[in-house]
Amino acid sequence: EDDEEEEQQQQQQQPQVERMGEAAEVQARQREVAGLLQHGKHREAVKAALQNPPLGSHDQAVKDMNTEVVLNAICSASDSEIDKIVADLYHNSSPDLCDTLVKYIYKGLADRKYCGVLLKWHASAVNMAGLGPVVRAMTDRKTV
Amino acid sequence: PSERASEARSERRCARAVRGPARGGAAAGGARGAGTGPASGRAARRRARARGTERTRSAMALRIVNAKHGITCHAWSPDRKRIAVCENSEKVIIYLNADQDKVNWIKEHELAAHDLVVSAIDWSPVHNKIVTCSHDRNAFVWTYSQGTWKASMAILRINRAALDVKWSPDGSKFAVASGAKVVPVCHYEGANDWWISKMIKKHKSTVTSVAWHPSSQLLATGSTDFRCRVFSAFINDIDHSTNTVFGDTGRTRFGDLLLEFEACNGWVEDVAWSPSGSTLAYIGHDSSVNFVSMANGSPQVQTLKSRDLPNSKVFFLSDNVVVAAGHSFNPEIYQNASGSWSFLGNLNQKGSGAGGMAKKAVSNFSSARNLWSNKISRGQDTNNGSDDLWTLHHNAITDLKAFDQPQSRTISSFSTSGLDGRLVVWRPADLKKVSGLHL
Repeated sequence: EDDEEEEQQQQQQQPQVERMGEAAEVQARQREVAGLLQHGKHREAVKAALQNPPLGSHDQAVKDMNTEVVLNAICSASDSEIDKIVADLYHNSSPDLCDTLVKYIYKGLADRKYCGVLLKWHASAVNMAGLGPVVRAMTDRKTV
Repeated sequence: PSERASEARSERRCARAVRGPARGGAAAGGARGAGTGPASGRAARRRARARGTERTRSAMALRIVNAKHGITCHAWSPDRKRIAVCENSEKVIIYLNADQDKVNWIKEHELAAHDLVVSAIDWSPVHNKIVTCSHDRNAFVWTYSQGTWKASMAILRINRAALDVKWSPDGSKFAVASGAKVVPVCHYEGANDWWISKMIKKHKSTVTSVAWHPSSQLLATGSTDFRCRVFSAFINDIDHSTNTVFGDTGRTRFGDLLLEFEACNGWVEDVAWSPSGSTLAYIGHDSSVNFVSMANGSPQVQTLKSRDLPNSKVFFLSDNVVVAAGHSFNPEIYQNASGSWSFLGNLNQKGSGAGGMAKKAVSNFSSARNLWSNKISRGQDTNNGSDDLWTLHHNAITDLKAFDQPQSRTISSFSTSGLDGRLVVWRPADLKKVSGLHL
């Protein structure tokens, strides 16, 4: 608890520029993902959406915006592609991306959006990456 | 006793039904509790021997000690003939014949001094004393004299539960991890014939585990404030200053914080030192295993994220091999090859005959029983229960202790006990099944 108070005080002293930087980054990501989705490149869209999430950011608006971007990318992939995309994330990218994916799945489920699709993604992710990412989604203090 | 015998018999019936015909020593030695029926046990062994598939001492041994209550913690005597077990109660029971596979354990002593569940037991090979600590905020040191174990209370001065206790390697002190955010380190004071404690503070939350450096003067602690710390536990009257990777311990004061690690995103569940004292491992509740190497002067932390559920205990088998066990019911092996740690594999491998169950021999009774028990315990509607529990342990592993003789530098056999009431001794033959393992 003491740590959180200290962090909050530090955050308030943080210059506005840094927080605007986060928002700008999310907007850039939004444009990139929208572009990829237009071309039908679902795998690259999901990968791009999951990069550099604003973990532990104090700006709720930025987090919400990023959640929108990620869920958009996830839900536009068709059911048959889910397994391939998750396999690609697990084998070819860093394992952190799988952790981030599962964190966003739980965020979406908590907000009660797109639950059917997210549950399919969840099954595929747990099949591929095991229960580790789920535990990390639950224990990480820095939430997406 | 009769209740336990019938329990053991029904366990064996179900085990045999689910596993199919007795597959060598695994089944015969597997479903045995205290007070087994002699006839069926002997018949099964005779059949197994006839088939030539009886396991020898080189394979792992499973013993069901108390399937109803589970095992909270256990500790081996220095000669490994006896084992002290807490079966989720305030009493610690010492069994004899614990090192033999096919022989019944004999209940020798019952150590009853605590009021609440005993959370940890440690048995020192130096002076053969047992220390137990419990949720009732007390720790007792038990000494064996004239055929009985006598308790002497250690004055801990904590106002919360004690969670873990460990003797220092030289046997002169023991440290207790407690929920009171302090670690009392107790040493013996001959003048008043009691164990008196000095406190290590500086934790922000419950301390879950403690581990002594081989020099007996440094203590690593893991806490639920997500940090692992290394303290100096140098007590002037007892210790002589030695040189460690942190410099001369005589220059530090008791309770000095030497290092603090934050690589973990979850509670730190357990901490362990390597036999040479140059590496520290701590496991976190975010399914990660973190290795700190002190080789190059400044500590380097390497984090490995596991794909399974978090572990509860971690232990060094040698300077380069670590075993971690916990909520995924299966011990994991990590090895340090050329400077970086990597996950080698699980010790309990499916279909290798180590407790594997034959799917075709499921009888009607056991499948019906599994259906209902799965519905209650795991909310499953199908009868896949027999497939899921192919591991030797059927519930979380909560304690892990070395089984080799105390002076061995590398440990090639160790025991795990869990909430399912089973005690499994893993032997060198099992370690050989993990590919790429070099102890």
